[in-house]
Amino acid sequence: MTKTVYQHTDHVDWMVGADKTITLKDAEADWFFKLNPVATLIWDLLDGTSTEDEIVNSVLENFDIDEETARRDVADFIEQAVDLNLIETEEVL
Amino acid sequence: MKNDNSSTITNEFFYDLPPELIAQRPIRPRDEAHMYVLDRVTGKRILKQVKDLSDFLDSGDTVVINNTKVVPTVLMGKRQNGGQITIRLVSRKSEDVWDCAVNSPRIPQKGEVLSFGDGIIEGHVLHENQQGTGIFVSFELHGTPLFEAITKLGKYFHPLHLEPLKENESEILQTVDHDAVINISGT
Repeated sequence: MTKTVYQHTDHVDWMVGADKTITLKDAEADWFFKLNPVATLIWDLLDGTSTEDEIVNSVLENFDIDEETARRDVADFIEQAVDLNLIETEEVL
Repeated sequence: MKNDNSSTITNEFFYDLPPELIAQRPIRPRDEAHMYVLDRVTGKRILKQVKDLSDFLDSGDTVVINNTKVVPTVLMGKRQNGGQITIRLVSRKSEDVWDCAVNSPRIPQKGEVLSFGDGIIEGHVLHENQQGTGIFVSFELHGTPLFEAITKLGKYFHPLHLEPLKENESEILQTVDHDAVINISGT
């Protein structure tokens, strides 16, 4: 049985700032995205190992947030990141 | 001891830098780059170009030339759990040990093994550095000298505020004399 994970594409670059949040740069479109702490954690977990459910669980463990909000935030982030070609999906065992 | 005032200290370096004042690429020809000349007697500064350098030299002067070379120190690889990771070799501490910056808020832990280039380079995480800004990594190679492997697998560090490097454009990162054998005497 496979599971769906997400990983960063090779035309996105980012840096971790002094405040430990991430700034993304879409190198093709030359767009910058400054991520808040929740989005920073989500982005960092889109490394080809975590499913959407696992990312939601990490958000719940690290932030004082209810599950419905966490699910919506993670789903919205992933949808936008896929649309912008910042991440790609992969089916793994 | 870790520095707990890092945000305060870095705040002192924040300043406005209008995009139009950021040089995205070196000027061509390179010797048309600006050069400030300081008159040590009057303290006056004169804006010249590098090609004017010889106008300010006398017989017997010593010219110190920067012939350092930029190497591609950004390595993209896998964590022990298979997750993507990007590190940057910042400072060499011994033959195979480097202080590395990690492009992730989740710093790899002591004992974790990182893999680059499908296992050509293995990085063993030793410990976090003293400043809390990265990790010490001991590199283990399988058949290739470290510098050669880095040159083959690494990417050049390029700050986000600069336009991305195009293919075969990495030469712009180098100083003019990075490969030169320079012999200046007398002038």
